Amino acid sequence: MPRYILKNRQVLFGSIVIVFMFCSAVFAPALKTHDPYRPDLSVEERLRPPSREHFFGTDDLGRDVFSRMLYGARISLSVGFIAVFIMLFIGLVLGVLAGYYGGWVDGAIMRLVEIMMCFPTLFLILMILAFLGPSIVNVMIVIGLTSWMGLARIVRAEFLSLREREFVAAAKALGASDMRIAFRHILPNALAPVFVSLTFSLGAAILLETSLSFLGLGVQIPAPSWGNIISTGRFYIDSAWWLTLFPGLAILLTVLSLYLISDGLRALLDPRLKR
Amino acid sequence: MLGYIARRILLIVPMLIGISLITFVIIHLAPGDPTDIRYGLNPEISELARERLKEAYGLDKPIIEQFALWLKRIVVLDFGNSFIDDRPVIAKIAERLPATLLLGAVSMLIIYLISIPLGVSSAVKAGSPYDKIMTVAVFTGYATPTFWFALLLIMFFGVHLGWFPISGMRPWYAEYYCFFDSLKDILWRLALPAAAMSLVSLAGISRYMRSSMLEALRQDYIRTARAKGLKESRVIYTHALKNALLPIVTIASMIIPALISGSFIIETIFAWPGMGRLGYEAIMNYDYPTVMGVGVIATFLTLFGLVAADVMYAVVDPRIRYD
Amino acid sequence: MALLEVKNLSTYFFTEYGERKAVDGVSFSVETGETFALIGESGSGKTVTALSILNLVDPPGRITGGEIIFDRKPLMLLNREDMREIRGRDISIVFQEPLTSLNPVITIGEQITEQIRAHIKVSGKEARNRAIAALKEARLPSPERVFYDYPHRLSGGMRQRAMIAMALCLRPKLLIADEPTTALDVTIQAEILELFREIKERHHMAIIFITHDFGIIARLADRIAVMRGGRIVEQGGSEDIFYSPRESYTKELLAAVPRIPDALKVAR
Repeated sequence: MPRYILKNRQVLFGSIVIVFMFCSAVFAPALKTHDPYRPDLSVEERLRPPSREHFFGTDDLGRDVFSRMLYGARISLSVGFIAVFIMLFIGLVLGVLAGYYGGWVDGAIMRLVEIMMCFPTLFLILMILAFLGPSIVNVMIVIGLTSWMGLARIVRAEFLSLREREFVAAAKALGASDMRIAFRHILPNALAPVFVSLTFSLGAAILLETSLSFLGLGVQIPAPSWGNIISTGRFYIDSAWWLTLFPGLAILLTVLSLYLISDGLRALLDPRLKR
Repeated sequence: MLGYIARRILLIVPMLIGISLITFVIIHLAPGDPTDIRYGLNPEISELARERLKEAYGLDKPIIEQFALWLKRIVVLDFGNSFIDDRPVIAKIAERLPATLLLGAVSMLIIYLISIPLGVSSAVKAGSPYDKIMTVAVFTGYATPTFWFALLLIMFFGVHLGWFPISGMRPWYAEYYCFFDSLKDILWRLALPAAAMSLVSLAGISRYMRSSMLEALRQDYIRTARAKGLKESRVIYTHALKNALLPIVTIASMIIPALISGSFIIETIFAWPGMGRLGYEAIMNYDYPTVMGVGVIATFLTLFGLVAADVMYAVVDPRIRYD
Repeated sequence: MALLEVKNLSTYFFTEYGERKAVDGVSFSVETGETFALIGESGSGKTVTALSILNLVDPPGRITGGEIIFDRKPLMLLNREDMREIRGRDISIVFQEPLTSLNPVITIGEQITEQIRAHIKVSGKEARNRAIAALKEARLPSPERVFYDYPHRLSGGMRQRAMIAMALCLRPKLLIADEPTTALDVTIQAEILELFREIKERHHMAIIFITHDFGIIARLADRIAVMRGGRIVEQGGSEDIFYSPRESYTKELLAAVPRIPDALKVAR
């Protein structure tokens, strides 16, 4: 596997970037150059363009954008991870149930999936966050709750094909209970495409969180998120371009690297399956 | 084929009920009740008045009954009056919907016009440097946050180069325009918002087109076509393409939810007077009748798009059409 | 000089698992009006040989050596345009699977007329007439209706007849039939073979008939070549092969043909 990462340029690039982002987030307190929360309202400090002292410039309250972005990475990445975790939980359970039992269970779950996919998701999320209060926790939950469908479908598809195999019949003959068969025997074999979907979903979750923060319904100021730095930058779009450019690039690179890894995983797994 | 269409249309009803249920549940999960939202901060309203208000809204009845009443009203598109300006919600939506539909339609046009040739050329040149570059470009498009891309477009084309206007759909002097001037003006103002809306879907569809085309080129009938001595251009652009385009029609159903979601962000950024912006502002102002109204209409549009895509596919694929 | 001369043809496939010699030094010739049978089991290289003649081998395969001379023209030296002219007009091929070999979203009629119009300049109406005539010749019922049908509306046998009509519409000098009956029911097989016999008699067309079943070409073939592992094991006149085969492999193949017991033969 590590050999594959080195051979495939896109996965390599993606992995490097994501590790870089991850480290920036983890080591933010050590890497920061200024206090990301303390405003400095003096005229000299507000809205300064990028310089040696402030790598990415300062925002309208005199705060160093670079440091804020480091802490923003923490928030955006953790929101993404937890949201994906929730997605995984819901999607796995429902997918396993649908794929393993089939019949009306499958039908009912699939109808639910279809209904959820018909929703204008962003609108739903905005509604929920507005009415229940925007907070980081709510954002995580809501993203997880609205994005599990793809995962469920993949798990279900895998289960539908795997449950006909002999090792399942063997396990049943040995008297294993349904849940045990499903989770201990079938699931490990179904995991490959799940990973592909997970990395992709992580990217999508981060995109969603930043969009929500931009709209004011995600991470609330003064807590920094790549999204809300851009939203403050919106008022100074003709002058303080650094407020828009750098956080956006960070989002782009992070999500891109996740997508590249996801695609690389998919290419890795596909021909293997065919053999 | 008619049976196929009928079945798809019948699915709309249970879907709409499901969606209304979910919207209803969300509203009622909000702390406090709808009357609080509107009048909670107004100290002049007495307890008695509040009670009367609750009765008027039917909030003292059991939840199931409230939902039934709600459904009855939705069917006639009666969403009540907006909390902001007390105008009927349905009227406000009707005013704004055409703008959103226009934006959506133009975006879709751009998406198909660009992604189909892109996907086909990538497939035909599979493995070449062109293909590899296109793949990276597509992924980058996928990963770009829509709102950021919109802001970049504004920064660059709007402010820096001054080529396109960055807000509004009509100028205040619109009534002086003749039809063609109006048309040109609207298209000019549509340019940036539509470009921003199209980005992500463009990436997705060109990718899909590419794999669909590759799949078609792998088929036996392509070998037969070449064996008949047909020109290579005919083999690719008639035999392969006709088959490859079939699933692309259904993909339209995947774009529509994305376009609707995108409209909330894009319309807000570009001050485009559409339903998306109406919905966003309603949410920020706790104008919940409008929120409900926009939600139901948006969902209905999505469903309509899904059914339309299915029907289109049935029409386009001769294997279904003539059965 | 023979209509088609194949000298020492080699076609290899270069895959990540290594080099596979699908056709390895094959030589034979076909005279005008002669029916030449190429017999072998799956994987013996018969189809690849046919595709090589028409230069339709897809990567990772490639013709690596030999000569193919058709009608005094060296096919391997022709440029793309000239080769394209020969395909469908001078040499035609009928494939094994009529379902997947026909384009599902184009009508039968159009699939024939496009071939006609790719090679000769005729009006749309004339092309249509010729196409219907070809369908009639392939003994398709109500050819005018079939013209407007899509492939999925026809039965397997009818589809194969349509493919044959397509192959014949420009009166090629050489028709290659690659296991044309293998995918069909036995009764339909007999009908299609009958059709081939008619074509052979009426048009004096050279035919290369590829199959794995000796029984099928028993009364059709003038000369036979037996292929195995990319090479020709034995070739000669059909009487010679049938009654005095020399190679052991040939004898095995002959023995594998199911035979009606003598008692039943009397009843027929």
